[in-house]
Amino acid sequence: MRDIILDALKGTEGYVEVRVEKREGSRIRLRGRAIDELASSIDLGGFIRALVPNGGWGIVTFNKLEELKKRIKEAIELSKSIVPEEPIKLAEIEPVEAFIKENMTDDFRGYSLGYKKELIENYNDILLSHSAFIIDTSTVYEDGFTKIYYANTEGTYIEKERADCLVVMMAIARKNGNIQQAWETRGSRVSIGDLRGLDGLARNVAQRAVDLLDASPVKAGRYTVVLDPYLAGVFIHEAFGHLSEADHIFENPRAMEMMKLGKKFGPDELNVGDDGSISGLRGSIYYDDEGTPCRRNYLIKDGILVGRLHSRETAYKMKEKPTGNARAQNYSFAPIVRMTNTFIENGSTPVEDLFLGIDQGIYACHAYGGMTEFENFSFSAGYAYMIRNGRVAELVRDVVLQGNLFETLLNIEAIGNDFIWLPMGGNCGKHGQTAPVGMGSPHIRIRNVLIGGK
Amino acid sequence: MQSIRELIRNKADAGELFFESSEELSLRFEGWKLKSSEINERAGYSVRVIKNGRIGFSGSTDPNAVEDIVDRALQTAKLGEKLDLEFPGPEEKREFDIYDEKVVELSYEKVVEIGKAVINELSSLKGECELRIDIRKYVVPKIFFENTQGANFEIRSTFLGVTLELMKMVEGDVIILDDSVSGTHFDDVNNEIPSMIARLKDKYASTKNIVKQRVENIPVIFSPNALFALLVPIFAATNGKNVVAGSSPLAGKLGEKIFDEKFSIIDDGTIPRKNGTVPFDDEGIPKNPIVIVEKGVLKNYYLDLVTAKKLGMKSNGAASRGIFSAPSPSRSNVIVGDGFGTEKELFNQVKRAVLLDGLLGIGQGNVLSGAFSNPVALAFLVEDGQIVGRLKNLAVAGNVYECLSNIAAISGTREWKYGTFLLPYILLDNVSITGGE
Repeated sequence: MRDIILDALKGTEGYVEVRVEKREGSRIRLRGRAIDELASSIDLGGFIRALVPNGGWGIVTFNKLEELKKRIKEAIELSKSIVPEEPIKLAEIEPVEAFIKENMTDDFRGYSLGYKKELIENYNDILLSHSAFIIDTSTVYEDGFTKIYYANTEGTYIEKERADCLVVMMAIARKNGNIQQAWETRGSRVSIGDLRGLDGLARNVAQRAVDLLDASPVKAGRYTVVLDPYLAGVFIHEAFGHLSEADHIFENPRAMEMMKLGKKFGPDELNVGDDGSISGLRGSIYYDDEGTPCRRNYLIKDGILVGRLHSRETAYKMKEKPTGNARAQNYSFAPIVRMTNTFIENGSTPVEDLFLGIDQGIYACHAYGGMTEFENFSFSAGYAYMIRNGRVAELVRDVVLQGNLFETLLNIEAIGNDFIWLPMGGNCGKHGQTAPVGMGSPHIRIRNVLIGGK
Repeated sequence: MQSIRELIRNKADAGELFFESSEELSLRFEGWKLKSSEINERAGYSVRVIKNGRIGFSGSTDPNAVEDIVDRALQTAKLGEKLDLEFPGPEEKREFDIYDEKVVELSYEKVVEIGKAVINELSSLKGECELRIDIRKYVVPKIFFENTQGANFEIRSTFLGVTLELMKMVEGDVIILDDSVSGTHFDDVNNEIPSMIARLKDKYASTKNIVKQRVENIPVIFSPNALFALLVPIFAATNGKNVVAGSSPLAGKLGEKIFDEKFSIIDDGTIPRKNGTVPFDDEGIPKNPIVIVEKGVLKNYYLDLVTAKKLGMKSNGAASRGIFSAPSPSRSNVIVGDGFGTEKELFNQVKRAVLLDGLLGIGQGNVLSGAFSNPVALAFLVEDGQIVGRLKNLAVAGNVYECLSNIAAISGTREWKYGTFLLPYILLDNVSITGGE
């Protein structure tokens, strides 16, 4: 493959990069007692991006590898046809040659599809048999092994392996027309063993769905909220992480004003970053899809905005350094600025102390997911409890946290000292592309959060 | 393809072969200029087999692995669902008007011209806003389907879409407005572009006046843009898969009055020149309109062969599949009604109301329960039938099964949204709305 790609790149004009990917994967989904999906797939394709001097991005994706040379010519022609007002330039990086192997301790490719099906059938049975109120489940096993070949005309050549396996378990409970759900996911880059032994987790999921049936809907209003590491991780990803993606803002001087380095964003204790180089985490990519090595990028240090996430293009435009955050979902897509593993760094407050002094507040846990539209964010807690007189009290449901990012970060009152990397198998969506991401955080406490509800 | 067909016949008890090829040209204009161009070519097979009464599935885009694909499908069939599934037989050939040579022949230069013309029309906003334009030309030269019962079809289709996003970002205030036109035929889309631009300009102008007024549970008007939030739970509940699983709140309720009698939903995959239109569904069933809700009464679910079999019913032709996804129930073109009067007449029905035109977080949370709870991206205060100004920091919540069971009014005027939804304005006085200061 290396020779084919390097040969095709010879004698081309301008900057050209080629990324070929082959992914073999399986996916099993159980719904209730039935098999909803059971599929095995092979996806092979190529991506080309060309940039001639004074031209624009010309992109071609294709399934027929034997057409590589022809497609490269096409991409270059597209690039020539775009005459941007300002030349598009890429920040410099060192050409690099790298071969990244995924070192699995327990390789899922060594297990039959039947084994994987039994693995989740076990969890699915636990969900279904836990309570008469559980009327539906969704349990998923998915794995994929991808080989990526990347080369560009600056001399970078990277071969990368990526292995992923995950389970998702979801239970739906119903009582008298009230329907509630709970879910958990676990993912691993190194071992199918990490997906074994989750019986206790399955029981928790089922019980939570049942408990939510008797929970009252939360009363809308502003509250002091303690977020568990799961929801805090989703919060920092949705509310802040996306705003740190430079492609949102590099074309727009006003947005750059809002995200000005040196501006106070949160309390002194707040440190937020993104790191795609940590071995074995879901969002780790080691080199991004432009060949930039990943590293720990601080976004907020001591409460001050100190950095953002870049591709080579956004880095050049903003006169900053590339950060290793240019990612593409697969060969069908061009890289855009994405997070990798985003985190709120450990704080100093013991978790119990976070609840002290809250007369009436909310302890919000886990997440259904979230979304952001610049300064506005919205995310749903998976489940939540009222906090009354400093203590965790009754379960409440339909807790949706909404608000303005800038206000909310400044309203962070305390940061717990129980940092964890979330073991979930979660994805982020942006501009029609999904990317596997990692999140980490301790518990955090925020005052004056707008909670939607009845 | 021949070899796959033979392998299926020889090795499986029954099977389907599905092949799809497509070519896409997409252009993105950003920062008031052409930013990038992309060509995406795709081709692949998917195979579904039945062996010993069990179902298997496999997909592949690797043309060198075609022999492999039937074996992989048979492998999954060993573990697959046991279901006495019967594939449909051959049907009369039919064709719908979904392929336009003008789209196929649309040159790269011409598409660039379209984008530049839009930029020109909106250039008066250049100092204040950022504009993103996405233009997508999508040609499916061939979809091929065949099953071992003799059903087969070949389809070709075209798509052209222009999507605009206007963004204004200043300290403390962010506005994002979007609008789009799309269809299968060049003229339909091209002719709609001027009115889309006019709409966007008008809407932008109306966002300038900000009104700070606390609104607590006053009537709410959902524009076609925002109405989607109320439809997502209904689509989930009428999806055959959720009905089979028993998690749909509408399971076992066919024939029951669920909504206000002013409310109806029809899924119609036969409308000429619309994006959701196809002559057959992806299992070979002829496409016909499906009445989902009529005068508030639930009439049908979205069904494919598998969900229909499990419910003891017949497929109503809602199956959609892809190279890597087995058939499942899907929407085609969705028409919501039945209303009366223009949207202005609807605005005049109440003294004071919030007009919702954009919501965040649609589709998240407990969708199956019918609950919705969304921060508002764009809303206006309507007083005495007029838009008075933009409201900020609102949140809306409710449950569609409660809210839509008593609808104050539905407009007769409807707008095509996202290419496949024809939606009215709906006035409700039973939705929780807060904020505004």
